[in-house]
Amino acid sequence: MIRARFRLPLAAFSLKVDVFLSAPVTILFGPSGAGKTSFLETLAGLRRPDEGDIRIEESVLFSSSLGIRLPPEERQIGYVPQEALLFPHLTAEGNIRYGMRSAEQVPVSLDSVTQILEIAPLLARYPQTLSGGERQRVALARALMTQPRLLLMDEPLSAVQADLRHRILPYLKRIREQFHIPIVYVTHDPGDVMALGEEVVVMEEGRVTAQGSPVTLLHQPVFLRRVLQGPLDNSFAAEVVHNKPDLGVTQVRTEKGLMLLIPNQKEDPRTSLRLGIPAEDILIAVSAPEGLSARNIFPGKIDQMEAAAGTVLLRVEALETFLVRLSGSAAENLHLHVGQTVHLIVKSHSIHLL
Amino acid sequence: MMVPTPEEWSVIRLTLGTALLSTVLILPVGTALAWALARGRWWGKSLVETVVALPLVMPPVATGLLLLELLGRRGLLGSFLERSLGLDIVFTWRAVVVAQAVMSFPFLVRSARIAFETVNPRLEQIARTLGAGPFRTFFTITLPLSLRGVVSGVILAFARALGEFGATILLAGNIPGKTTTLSLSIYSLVQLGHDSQAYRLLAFSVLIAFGAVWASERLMRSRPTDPS
Repeated sequence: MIRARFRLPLAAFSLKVDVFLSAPVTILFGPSGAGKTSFLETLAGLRRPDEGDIRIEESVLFSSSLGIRLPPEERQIGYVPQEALLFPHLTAEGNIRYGMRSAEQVPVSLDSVTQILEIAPLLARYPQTLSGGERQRVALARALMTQPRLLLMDEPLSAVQADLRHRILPYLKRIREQFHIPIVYVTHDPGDVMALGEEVVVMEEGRVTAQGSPVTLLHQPVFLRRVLQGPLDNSFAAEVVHNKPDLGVTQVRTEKGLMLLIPNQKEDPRTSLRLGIPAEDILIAVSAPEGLSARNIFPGKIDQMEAAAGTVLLRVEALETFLVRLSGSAAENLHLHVGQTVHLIVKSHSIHLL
Repeated sequence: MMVPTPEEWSVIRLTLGTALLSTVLILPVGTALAWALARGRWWGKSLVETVVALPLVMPPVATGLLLLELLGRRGLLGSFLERSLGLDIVFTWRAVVVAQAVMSFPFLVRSARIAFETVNPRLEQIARTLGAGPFRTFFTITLPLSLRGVVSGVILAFARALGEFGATILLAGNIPGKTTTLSLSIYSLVQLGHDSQAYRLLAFSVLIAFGAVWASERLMRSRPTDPS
């Protein structure tokens, strides 16, 4: 449980925050310049608020009334910044070992971290020779090795952003499952929010404007605008059931048991995959369609519908939760409404691997 | 032919010894000050910057005169040192070290400061979040990443100390065997018309300068990575 209530003056405005964070993964979402990074830096002890109170469980990190201000090195908060910021004069391993604790029984061991993040082959290399995604993983490992009580992660911001995101997300899920360290993840990408978040804190111009589960936040204007405009992938974990190379497809099963056909893969059965389905590549039919070439057709129920700027976003429960984006005209024509049972249609080639 | 005579040896030893000692003495203070100037925001910073830079712009002889006033037996600091520690400064080898230290100090501080300023402060912040206190952060992140600039500052300071003349002759005098360094000795020899002996000392100074630069280049090249 993290309690943060503080005021921090910034160049354009004051960051004013008053939140409780208790989910295993909290997504900090908002447009650029909303103060998300400043929020993380304040938690980590790199910025000093005017006044306020920051606690993790019972321990006080900052309190203007008690006159407490723990320096960053005493906070035990792991921070992975946007630019990864690896130390250029140390190898990947030197970086990872920099803040390592050498206690007898540590929950996070070097072996387990390098294995989970798949960075063992990179250990001897210098940061200059690593790709953006590799740097991000090494920075994540470096933060984990300090046995943090809280992990702060700022979204990778670079030219290869989409690519990077899709590489770091699965690792973040493994970290959450393996080490049980609470994570606060900053992003302005709604796809990240859907894929990761149990809880979302929406920030705009230095204020927290909403907090809740991703689904309950779909009606938030700032969130919805991003969801309706930007690229939006539905993303699922799945496992290979069997390959049919002669038919050009592979059958997979998602975590919640939905069977899908995707373009043929070379992976063996039981291999874990991460699937992405763009929200606009899913078709809706109000009655069971017949004679279609699309390989994936399954029923679902509309449980939320949001409209803005000529676009309609549906949230459909079909074993997995799907977000479907269509034009206002299509939604009107089909008389779609919440509670309605529809059929989702997905071409196998609309499903890609993340 | 180029083997130094015993007299020449003593001049070379005195010059190298005082220059090394003055460089070693200003290294911790100069580095700390350079760091404070590069990273800190504090009251009186621009005043300190100006005072440190003074020996760069003032005539060395004027600096020497100021030091003489300060460190002489009746000077503010000089009388105190003599009474409390029984320490004589002026016209001893110690005066040579003081003159060299003061004159070379700005070179070290300037180079080190510029070097520290090129290090991304965000890297230092990250080191702090990884559990390193300010000292460990300085010695494991800031210093290794700015080593090139700091070392070149040290070489500059050492070279400036080797060649120091104006402040030395005022504060330490020109006492053969006690305070006569290479520069002072060359000057006296030329004054006396012993040109060939002056050229021999000139050759030794060139050798020393050459050695210092070569050593620093070697040191820099053996570094494993270029942090650029």
